[in-house]
Amino acid sequence: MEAFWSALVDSFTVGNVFLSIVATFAGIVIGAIPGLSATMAVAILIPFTYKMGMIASLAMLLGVYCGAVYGGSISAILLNIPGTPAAIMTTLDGNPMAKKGEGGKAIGVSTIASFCGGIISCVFLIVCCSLLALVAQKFSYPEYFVLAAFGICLVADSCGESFLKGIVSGLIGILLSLVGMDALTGQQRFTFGNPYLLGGLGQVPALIGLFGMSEILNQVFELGVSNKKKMKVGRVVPDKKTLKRLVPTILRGSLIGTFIGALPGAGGPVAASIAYNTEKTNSKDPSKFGTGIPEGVAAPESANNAVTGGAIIPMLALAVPGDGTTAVLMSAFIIKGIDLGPMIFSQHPEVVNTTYIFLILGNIFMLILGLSLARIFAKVIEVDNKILLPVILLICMVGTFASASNTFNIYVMIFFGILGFVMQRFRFSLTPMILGLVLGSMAEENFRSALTMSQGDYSVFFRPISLVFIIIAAVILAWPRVRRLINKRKAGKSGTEA
Amino acid sequence: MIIGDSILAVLLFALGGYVYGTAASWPDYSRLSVLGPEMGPKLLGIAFIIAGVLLLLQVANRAFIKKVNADGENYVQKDIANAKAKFAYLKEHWKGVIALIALPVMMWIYATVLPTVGFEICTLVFLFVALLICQERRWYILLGVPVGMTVVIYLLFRLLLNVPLPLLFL
Repeated sequence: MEAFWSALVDSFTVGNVFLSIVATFAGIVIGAIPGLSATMAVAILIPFTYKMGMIASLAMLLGVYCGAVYGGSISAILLNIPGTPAAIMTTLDGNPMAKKGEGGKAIGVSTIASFCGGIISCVFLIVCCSLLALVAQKFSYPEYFVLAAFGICLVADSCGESFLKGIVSGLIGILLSLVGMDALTGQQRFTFGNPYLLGGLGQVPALIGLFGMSEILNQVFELGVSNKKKMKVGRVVPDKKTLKRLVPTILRGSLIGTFIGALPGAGGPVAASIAYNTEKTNSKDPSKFGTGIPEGVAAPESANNAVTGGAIIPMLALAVPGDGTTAVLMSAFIIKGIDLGPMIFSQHPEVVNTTYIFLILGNIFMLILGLSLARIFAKVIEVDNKILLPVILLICMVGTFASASNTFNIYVMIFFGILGFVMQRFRFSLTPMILGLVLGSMAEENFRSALTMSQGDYSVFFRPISLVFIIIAAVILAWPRVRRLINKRKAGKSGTEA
Repeated sequence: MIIGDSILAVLLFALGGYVYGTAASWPDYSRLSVLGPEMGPKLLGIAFIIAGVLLLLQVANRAFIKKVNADGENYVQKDIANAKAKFAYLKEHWKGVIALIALPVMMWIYATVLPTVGFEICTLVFLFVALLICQERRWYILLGVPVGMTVVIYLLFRLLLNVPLPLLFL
C-alpha cells in the first residue's frame, strides 16, 4: 500500500497528467480512423520514450492504448465502419441507434461502458494479477482452439436472417484466413504465386474493405435517390433508467473482457463477440439485438475495453503479451531495462503501481473526453454525403496503406469491399466473415498444434478448461432454440385451454 | 430469393470443388504434422458443398413443395417479379451503377500509380474525380476539399504519426 501511495505521489505531476490527457485524446482520434489501430499508435510512440522517464512513458502509452480501443467505437457507431477490429460487434447496434437519431446516446453508452470495463479490469489487475496469470498459464493449444471455435460459432448464430448464410459467411472468412504460408509446414495455400500473399490477406484491409468500402459503395449507389436524413445527436449521457438497466450488461461484459484479455493472443474481437452473444442469449427479447438497442453497444464495448487491463496481466506477471498492443508495450519496458515476469512485483513495485495508476487515469480521461466531445464527433455525420463519402474512402485507402506501408493492401481492401457489397446484396451478414478471418487461422493452427502435441489423441480437446468452453458454447447455441420451443408449447397449451 | 439462392448454391459447389481439389494436390506432410495443411481447406471444401446442397433443398422446398408463402404469393413468381423490379431500378439509377463501377476502378488506379506519381497528385486527382462521381458540382468544393484533405492527411499521417507516404514534393 505504501508503495502504491509513493507511486501515486510521483506520478501525479502536472506534466504527467497533461501527457496522459493528450495521449488519450490522440488515442481516441487514431482509434476512430479506420486502418489506424492502438497497436500502431503505441508502436509509433515507442521511439519517443527513449528520452522520457519511465513514468512519463507509461502515462503516454497507456493513455493512447485506452483511447484507441475506445475510439474504434465512434466510427463504428456513426459511420458503420469499425475503427479497430475490437469494435466490429459495436456496429451491429451502434449504427442502427445513430440512424434512429440516438447517435449521441450510443456514443454515451459506449463511453460509459468502455470506462466501466476499463476500470473493472484495472481492479482485477490490481487485486488478482498473479491468480489470473496462473489460470492463463494453463491455456495451451487445445484451449485456444476451443476458444476460437467458440467465438466463430457464436457469431454465426447471432448475425443475419439466415443461420445457414451466417455459417457460410463464417466459412468464407475462415477460408480467407488460411491464405498464405502455413506456419507448421511452409506449404503455400491459395497464394497464386503472389509473394505479397505469403503473409496472408491481412485483417486491416479486410476489415476496412468489408465494413468501410462496402458501406460506402452502398451509400454511393443510393446518392441522389434518397435524401440524407439529418441524424440528430440528441442527448449524450444516457438517462438514469437506461444506465441502471445496463449495469448487469456492463458487469458481464467487463468480466468476460478481463478474462479473455488475460489470455495471451485472444484479444478484443473475441471478447466483444462473446460478450455480445452472451447478452443476446440472456435477453428476454433476443430479436431486438441488431435493431439498435443500448445493450448491443454496452456489452461489446465494456468487454473490449476490459481487455486492456486483462491483457496487462500476463504482460506483467508472465512477460507474455496479452494482445498485439501489449506486445509492443513490452518493448517500452525493455528499453528502460525493466525485466517483466513474476520478479517485477518485488524488484520494481513502483513500475507496477505506476502502470495501475495510468491505466485508471487513461480510462477516466477517456470518459471525460468521450462524453464532452461526442457532439463534435457526431458533427461528422451531418456533412453532405457527396463530400463525406469520397473523403472517407480516401482515409480508408491511406489508412490501409499506412497499416503495412504497402499498396498491395489497397488491392486487398478493394477485393473485400466488392465482396462485402455483393454479399450484402445476397443477404449475407458480414460479421461472421470478418470474425472467421480473425479467428480462423488461430483455430486451425491451434487445432493442428494440439493434435501434434497429443500425437493424434483427440481427447486433448476435452481437458477441463476446454470442456467448460464447449459446454458454455453448447448452452448458448441451444438455449434460444429450447426457449423458443418451450414458449411455443406454452402458447399452444394456453390456446387449447382457451 | 429463389433465383439468387440457386446461383449461390452453384457458386458454393464450384468453390467447394476448387478448394478441395487444390488442397488434395498438395504434398504429404504427415511426417511434420499429424494433420497437414490440406486438412482445413478440405473440410471447408466439403462444408461449402454441403451448404450448397442445403441451400438447393431450401430453394426446392419453396419452389416445389410449399409453393406459396404465408400471404398466398407464389415464391417463384414473386422472385421473378422482384428480379424484374430490381433490373428496372438499376436502369433507372444508372448514375449509381456507374459510380459503383467507377469508384473501385479509381481506387485501383490510385493504388497502382501511388508509388510512382506520389501521394500529393494521386490524392488531389482521386478526390476531384470521386467528388464528381458522387455528383458534387460546386467548384469551391471540387477544388477546396482535395487540397484541404491532402494537407490534412499529410499533416496527420506524415508529420504527426510519422507514417511513410510516397511523396513527390511535400
